[in-house]
Amino acid sequence: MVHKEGQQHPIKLYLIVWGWLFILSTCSFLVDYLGCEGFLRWFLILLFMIVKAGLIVAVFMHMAWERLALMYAILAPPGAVLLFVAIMAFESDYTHFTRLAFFGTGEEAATLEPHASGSGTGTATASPDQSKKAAKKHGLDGSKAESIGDGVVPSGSAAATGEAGPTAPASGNAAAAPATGEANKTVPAGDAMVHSDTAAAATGEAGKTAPASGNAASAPATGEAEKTAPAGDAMVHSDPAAAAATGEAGKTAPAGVAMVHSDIAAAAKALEAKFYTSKPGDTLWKIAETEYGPGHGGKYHLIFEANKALLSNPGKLSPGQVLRIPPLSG
Amino acid sequence: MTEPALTDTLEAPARPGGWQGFAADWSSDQRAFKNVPWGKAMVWIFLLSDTFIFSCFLLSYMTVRMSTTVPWPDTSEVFILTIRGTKYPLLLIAIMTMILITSSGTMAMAVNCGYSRDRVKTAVLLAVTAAFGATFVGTQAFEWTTLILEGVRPWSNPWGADQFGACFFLITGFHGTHVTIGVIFLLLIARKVWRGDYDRHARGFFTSRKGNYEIVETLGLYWHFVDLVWVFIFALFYLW
Repeated sequence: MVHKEGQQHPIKLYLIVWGWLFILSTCSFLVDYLGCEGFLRWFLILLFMIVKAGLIVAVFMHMAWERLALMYAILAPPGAVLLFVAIMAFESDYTHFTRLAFFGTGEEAATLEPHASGSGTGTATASPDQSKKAAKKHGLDGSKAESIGDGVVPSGSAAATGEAGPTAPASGNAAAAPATGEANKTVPAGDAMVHSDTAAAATGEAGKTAPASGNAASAPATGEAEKTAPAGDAMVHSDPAAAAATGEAGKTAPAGVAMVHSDIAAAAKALEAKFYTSKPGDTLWKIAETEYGPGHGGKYHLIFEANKALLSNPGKLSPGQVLRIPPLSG
Repeated sequence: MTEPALTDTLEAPARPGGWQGFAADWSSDQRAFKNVPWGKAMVWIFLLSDTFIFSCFLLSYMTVRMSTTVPWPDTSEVFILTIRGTKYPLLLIAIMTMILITSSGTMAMAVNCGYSRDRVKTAVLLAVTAAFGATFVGTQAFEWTTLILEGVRPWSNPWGADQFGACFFLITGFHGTHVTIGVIFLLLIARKVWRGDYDRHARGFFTSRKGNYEIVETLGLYWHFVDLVWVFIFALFYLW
């Protein structure tokens, strides 16, 4: 029988490799700890991973001293996995694309073409330079554009192109917000509701005119601004800082009412009675457990849905945010 | 005249029939892996198949993560350890990694001692490796408990894409299962080494075969593989 004695290597070799494994693992953590981002991060993570894996296979598993027949038989087949990775990366990229195209929510919705429906007189403009800058800055942060009903402008696109010309001839309400980051716009027939966040403010200018019914609302809103324009009225809630920062809001309300509230909470109060101010360490799950009772943590998505204007994703909850708690039965 | 004699000698041992013959015919004529015991070659092939299983898990993780439109939870926020009010991102994972690397080191030494037929040292080092492995599983149980209490489920979680929970439980669960099985075998083999089964060539309880120190190396391969998989999980799931 061959290989009776097995392999003999000095114990020192194992200790050296062992030490290197510790060093490389520490390096991997430092990548995260020092906050390396982007290409450097992926490169370093993969580099340390491959070096560690190589050391373990070559020395600890003694592959370095085996005959080529065994080496190839074991090490070559996993190479096929790389091809599999490439295929699945291509596939999931396509899935991602179709989800964005057909469900319309998600990060890159803003890149979709802007739609200006009808042929009214209302116009909205955002200075191209500013909005381009904002688009560049916030382009990757993602924005959401939702539209229901008439008189709708995908807000993200407005910012990206620097021009938005929304017009809503029939119902007579138009809303435009050069919003990147996250902006939800819902415009039911005859109403205009605009939620936009900081990025909207950065772009600066929004001019909105609604000729037919004579309501118009425009707000370069920062923070989380909610704009609601029920039929016949236009209500604008925006952060004071926003108004100050931009200063270029062209607001025209030929007929009807325009109201500006500088408090988000106030805006929300008009709709629902129950609120919760988030504390440090809170998660939506914990809030759902306290508000809806133990065992109802899974309902956190109701809270998230009700506060989409505030929260870009369920994980991004910062202390002091006033959340609307929708009733559980609904 | 020599040829018929040669064929005679080749035909002399009667080939077994039936299933035994089937197995013998497939296995007896050629050895591809010349200088490794069959057990070692087989465990390598087993590990290769296991590689594909873990690859499939990591691939499906990549696929769901790339295709979701909802942001993926930030792992340095999710896997955070709070000690006396201070938050340490990924500290628990760091501890787990160090534990596993340490156990890999002790395993490598156990294999080395196995080569030199050092009964006591081999048994002790195997037991130490098993202890580190058990600690790892314990840490992982703690991690799972923490996350489950925070509301992570295979179908949802409080921080982002729903697929996170499914990937986490599947990948770390399958790895944890491997570690657990490894710990069980480490203890079994440590006991046999300690008793001197491999010095006396005692027959095994289950297989009735004479064991020898090769099993330590075979077990070592499995254990290092578990560590190897963790290297990939750690980089691709926790750090990415």
